[in-house]
Amino acid sequence: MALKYESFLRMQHIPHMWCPGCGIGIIVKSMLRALETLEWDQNDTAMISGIGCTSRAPGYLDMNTLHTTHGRALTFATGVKFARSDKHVIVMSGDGDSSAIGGNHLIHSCRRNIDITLIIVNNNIYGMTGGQYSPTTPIGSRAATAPWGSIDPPFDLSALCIAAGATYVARGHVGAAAPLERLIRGGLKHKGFSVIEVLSNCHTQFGRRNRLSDPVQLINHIAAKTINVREAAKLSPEELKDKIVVGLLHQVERAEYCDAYDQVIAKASASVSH
Amino acid sequence: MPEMAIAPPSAKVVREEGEERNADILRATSEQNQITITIYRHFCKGCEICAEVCPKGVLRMKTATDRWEGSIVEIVDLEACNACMLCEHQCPDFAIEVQSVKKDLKVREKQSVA
Amino acid sequence: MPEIPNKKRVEFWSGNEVVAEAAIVAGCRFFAGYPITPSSEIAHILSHRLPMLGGKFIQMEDEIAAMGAIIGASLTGQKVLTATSGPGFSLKQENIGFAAMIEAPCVVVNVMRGGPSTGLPTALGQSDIMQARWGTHGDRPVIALVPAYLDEVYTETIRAFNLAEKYRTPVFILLDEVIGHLSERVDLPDDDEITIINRQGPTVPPEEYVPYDTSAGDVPPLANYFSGYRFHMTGLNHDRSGFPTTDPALCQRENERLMRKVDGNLDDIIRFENTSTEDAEILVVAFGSSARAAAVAIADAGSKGIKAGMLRPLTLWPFPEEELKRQVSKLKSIIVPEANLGQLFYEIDRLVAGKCPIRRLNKVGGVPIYPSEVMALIEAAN
Repeated sequence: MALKYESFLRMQHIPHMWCPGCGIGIIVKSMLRALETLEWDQNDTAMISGIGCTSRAPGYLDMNTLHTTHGRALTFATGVKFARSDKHVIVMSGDGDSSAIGGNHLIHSCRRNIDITLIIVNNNIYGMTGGQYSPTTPIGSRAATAPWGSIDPPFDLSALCIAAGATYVARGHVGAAAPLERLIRGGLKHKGFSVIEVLSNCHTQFGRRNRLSDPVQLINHIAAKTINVREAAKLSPEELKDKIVVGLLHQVERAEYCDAYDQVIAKASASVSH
Repeated sequence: MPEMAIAPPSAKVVREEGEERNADILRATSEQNQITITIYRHFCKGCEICAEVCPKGVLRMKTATDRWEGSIVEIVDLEACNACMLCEHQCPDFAIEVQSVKKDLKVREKQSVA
Repeated sequence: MPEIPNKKRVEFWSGNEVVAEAAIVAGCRFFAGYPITPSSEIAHILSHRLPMLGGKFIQMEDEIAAMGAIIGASLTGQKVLTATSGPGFSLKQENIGFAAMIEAPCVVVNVMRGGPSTGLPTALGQSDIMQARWGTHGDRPVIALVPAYLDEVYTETIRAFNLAEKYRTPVFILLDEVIGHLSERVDLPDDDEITIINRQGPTVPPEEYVPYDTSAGDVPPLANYFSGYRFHMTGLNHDRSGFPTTDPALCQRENERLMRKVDGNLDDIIRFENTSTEDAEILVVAFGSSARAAAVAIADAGSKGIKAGMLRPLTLWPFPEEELKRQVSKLKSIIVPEANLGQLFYEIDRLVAGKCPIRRLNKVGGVPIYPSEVMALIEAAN
């Protein structure tokens, strides 16, 4: 009997390179379960990433995969999707990759509302390169480049994406894989720029420096901070102060970029025949 | 040829037709509950998430000094499993899977009604 | 000056217009760019023309994004173009190296302007040529074309696309602000004079496919995305399977193969033009708008009985080394006029290796080199 997920995986490279207990594996599996229900042809699906631990994901997946430069995954994805808007394009990116060096591309992809699904693995650190602080590292946390505690205020990535114009924004975490699968499926199905921010655990680099070096401990720590969006609606801002709201945070319909350009082509082509 | 990932030194070959040469698979089926738990031991990295997350005490981590991970998951109470799927969903490594005949039937029911 | 050819179609275009129109003829249907003087007209024209042909134009948020977008589109099978100038060219370097590493065909136009830094946005420069050669980190093959007259801007643009497709590598077209903005008569080649080359794809079914299989030659038969062939591409050093490797022997082999795609095909890639060089004692080596000025000086010198000629590269990188070395022994002086502080000179100096004195003319004020300035050097060398 074959592995359930086997049809999506490049089995010759499994076990993957992520640390024991790393949330990226949980996120990838949730995504694969979502993809299975959507029944997309793997030949019609592209998985694109930048640089970092998260960005190693496409290498393990049996689709059209591309591992690009740091922070720039969305630019390549835009080129792929804009050239072939009939195909599915998924981007996986870490918190540093997507919001530091990739920040400009993040907000413009949201603005354009191009039909790409972005999964941001937010483990609050630059894991691959040895644990430097990222734009989402909590204030006061220790990191390789913040040995005295970080003073950088962190982004709320979901809020950033909503403000920039993304039309589907959800936040999940690796302690709740089944809800995460639903949030990812919603994003994959949604026509427009979809962002699923997933709070994840890097116990090796972030956790180790902040007394959270066990994966289960760190995942529980993350889960304890979260509150579902429905529950959060019943609480006051003071009660929500140290909580992170998870669930489907934002979904609207807006003109999708490739569709809008198809109308440009129609208009331009019509002008030629005169 | 693509480089193979590091295979655990203690891999024991328990494979069915079509499974990989280096596979070290433990399979246990509860006839009563019609639930099968499969552990792909050669993928398990001993992170302990599955054992911690199981609400029924089905799984436990066993110290395994012969493995580079230091521990591996084992099934200690198969009959207690109710196929909640938490271990499978929360395992980062494709190392544990749960198959439930009753659940599959339910899903198929849902799909045919939808 | 070349004699006026007899072509069916004659236009009066600016250099940037020529690039846009030639790209369309070459099959380009995807442009991503970012506005930057003096290249923006290429974007303006293609934003208008491409959708008329069912093609795609997108203005990205920055130069880096433009480079990423064209590479992504190239992987789906499109012939792609971006256009920029010095500052944008600097920004694009990382992704240029990425395209070279994964072997994605693409064409990058740099309409060079005064530098360094913001420099002289609306004036000419030729000071990015060494950057074109060495600008990315790491070793990667370089093809850079430097057409000077608009007829050849047209044919060399088509050739740029052909070279990109054939060798699966980024190809640069290095113009300068003068060539980009001047307008002159353009005699377009007849249809039967135009050759279009398309990339080679896989010759085996998906189950047998190895993306960087180079058993049949140094250029791998990469499949296009969504064509039924699923494989991985990464900027990490990789082996034939496309997956990352740190094996020293494999890295050595693959990096050398990348370079060999150009180094092993010099006859196909290198083009140059000799003017009055048969019995020349003084050789001007120049490209682009500097060469246009030098051509006038050469003609002038000839009429005065001075034995001066010009070797004008059309392919700047790889540089026509063999041709230069062939001519050096008969020369008493080489003159290198360029709108930078000695970049082509640096290459000539290396190749000549002291066998012949070299005189330099380096003008970086944004004003073109004048024929009279070249003439002065020719007379001094005589």
